Amino acid sequence: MKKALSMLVLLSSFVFINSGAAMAAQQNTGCGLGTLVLGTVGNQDSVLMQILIVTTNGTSGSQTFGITSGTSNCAKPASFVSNDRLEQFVADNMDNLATDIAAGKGETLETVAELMAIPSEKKDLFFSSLQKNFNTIYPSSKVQSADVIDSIVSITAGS
Amino acid sequence: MKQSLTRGPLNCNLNFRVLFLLISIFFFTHSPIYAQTEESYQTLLIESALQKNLDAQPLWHILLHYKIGFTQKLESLIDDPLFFNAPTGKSDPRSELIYTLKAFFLPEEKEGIHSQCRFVARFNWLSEQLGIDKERLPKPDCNEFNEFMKTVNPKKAVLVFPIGFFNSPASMFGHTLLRIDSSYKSPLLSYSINYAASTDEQFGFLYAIRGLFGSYKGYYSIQPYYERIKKYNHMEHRDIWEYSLDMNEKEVKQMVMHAWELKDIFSYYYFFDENCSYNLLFLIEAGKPSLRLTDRFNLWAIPIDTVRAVDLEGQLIEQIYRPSERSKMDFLSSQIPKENLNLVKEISTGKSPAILDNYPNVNEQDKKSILDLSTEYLRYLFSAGKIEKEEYTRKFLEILSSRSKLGTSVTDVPAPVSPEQGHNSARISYGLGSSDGDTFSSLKIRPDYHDLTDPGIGYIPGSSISFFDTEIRFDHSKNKIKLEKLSLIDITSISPRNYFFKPLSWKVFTGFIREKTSKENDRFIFSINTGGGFAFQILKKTEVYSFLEPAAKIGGELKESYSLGIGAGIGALIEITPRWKIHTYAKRVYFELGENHEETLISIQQGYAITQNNALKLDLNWKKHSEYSFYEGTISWNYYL
Repeated sequence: MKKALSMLVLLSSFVFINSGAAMAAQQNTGCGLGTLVLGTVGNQDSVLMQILIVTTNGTSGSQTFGITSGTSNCAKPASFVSNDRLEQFVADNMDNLATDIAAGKGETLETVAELMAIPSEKKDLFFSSLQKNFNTIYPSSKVQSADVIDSIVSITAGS
Repeated sequence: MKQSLTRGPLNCNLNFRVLFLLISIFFFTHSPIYAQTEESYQTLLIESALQKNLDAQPLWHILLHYKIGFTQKLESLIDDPLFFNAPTGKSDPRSELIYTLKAFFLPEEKEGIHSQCRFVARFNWLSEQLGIDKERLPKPDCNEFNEFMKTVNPKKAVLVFPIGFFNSPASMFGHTLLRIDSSYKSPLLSYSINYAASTDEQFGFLYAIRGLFGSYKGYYSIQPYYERIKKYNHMEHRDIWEYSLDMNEKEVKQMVMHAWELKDIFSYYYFFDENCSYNLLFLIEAGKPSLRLTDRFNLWAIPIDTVRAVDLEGQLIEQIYRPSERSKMDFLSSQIPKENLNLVKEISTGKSPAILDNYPNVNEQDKKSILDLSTEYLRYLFSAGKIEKEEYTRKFLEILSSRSKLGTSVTDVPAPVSPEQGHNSARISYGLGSSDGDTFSSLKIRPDYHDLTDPGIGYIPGSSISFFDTEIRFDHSKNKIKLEKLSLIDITSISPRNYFFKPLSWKVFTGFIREKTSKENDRFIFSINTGGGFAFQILKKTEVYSFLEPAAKIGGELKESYSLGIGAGIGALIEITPRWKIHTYAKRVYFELGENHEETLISIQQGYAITQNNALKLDLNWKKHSEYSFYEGTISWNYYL
């Protein structure tokens, strides 16, 4: 009985120390909503890792100078107002942009305004007209970055 | 009348002279004499460089990462042979200087890139120092480099510090990266430079061992800053602090040129000393060689300490707080009346946002907060893998669509005190105490990092981590010095469960301790103590928790030389004021195997922060070892350095 108890104690300690192991989310590159980043949610280092003073910035595959990183294989917008930087940025930040447009403000939205060279006196109008037309920009969950840019351009031209 | 064209004997002579000159130049530049002149220009430059002692200049050492190592010899920390032009370049600055200059004259490329285009910072600096006439050298097309500089467009530099987060005391060590701001206003369009180990395994015992012993290759990398925000802010729930550096455009450019020199160059990664934040300091020094940064770190470099080093050099001019998703969620939760929090979960997990219309007590602002929080919570559920992408995107748009009809709101998460203002990493304590009536003096040394009653500013509440915490006591009555404690690992993570997050709190202790078994006897044993349990926040600054604690002891003085047991404990963490913290704990452990005995502890520990790096502590304990019980108390002065 006592031996069993001791085994239980040791085992639970061992399991416990190894628990909470890194739950790496899948890298999900795409041109639509719901792309994820490689990493560990909430950084649940296993207890063992914490004991061994692991600094978790050691991620594999990021040893490049990714200047033109991003989803460059996305479809291009029809609008000729668009530019490479804008396309790359929108493709890589779809979820954040949608959140900002819905809220009528935000850093991602400000960045899109800058990339589209929206003059500062027109920014408030730009934000509010995009917010009003949220459903036009995001008609379905399958929307792609090129569509989003085209919608934004046409709404801006119209307002 | 015909205009006569300028043709005539004079012009013919001029043409002939020009032709003669051209032919002469052709033969001259292709003659051995010319080659010799160019060779002598090379020699001239080398001589001039050596005469000026450029190989002893601080910037040369910085650009080549030369440091005096344990062997007391000068050696570069870079391990990749491609980084050096001289065969002995890794340990010989002078030879490296000579061969680097020679390399600039070579017509051919090495590994597909000409030396002038690879070692841009060296070329730029040497050109300035020696007044190099670039017309007399090969002029390769450094297209890749030029494109790179055009895209990055360096203007300003920012030191970025993702801090720790809940339930991960090790994350309090933090991380650093550099952001290079361009002429764009938005920092999201900046690029950031990072140094990290390239690993295959994501986790595991092997990963830790290899990292500790330098068996991974470390590389510098550059990525859009928004990718870093996604990783640290969104995925890992880390708050980010951004410190603007006092560097002008020329200095930032030089720094980025040096980063280019390090492209695809490896050095072995050591978790302790040659880690992410230490290696970043070389870049800052490359921009501003007058700074003393890397020299301050010998045995280990803790990221926040590198931030403090930059601060000590007066280089931090502005700081900006970038809250994590978790911090935003906590803030939004505090804005919503408690009785409406369930609406957030219902909306995130299925119900239509339209249900808000059924609650007349939910005002317009609350509606916005609820939908904002629902969005954040939904995104968390998706990144945690708790819902599938299709369900996520559908719900995501549904919530946002409702939100878009409501206008804007202000959600500025209040910034906590910035982390570099926290106490320094090492601690020395001197105290006086009494144990069962016998007085003693106590000296404690802890190389790093932070415990539950240390001044809390800049650290995560409830998180404690320390290594090699050592205590020596001088017993006044017995006139003896004894080693009281030498801990190897001591980590505690008290993480309150709330409506959205339900972490498991935990602790681990391994190390040597002295335990009193009677008034006259004590024994020095090796102790292993783990614990797991739950914590709750019951008041704004009060947390209570309870642990189940397996425990093991090993030592020759124990019956059968070991003891194994299980126990339980309850405790509370209270922040009476921002300076005054109390940690109280009570536990009992039943040791059933090996030496059979019981242990009880009731403890009240208090810490009062006098300044950022000075604290007064009072510890009161009641201990019971089987039948023997006694009181023990210590008052100590704690200095952080």
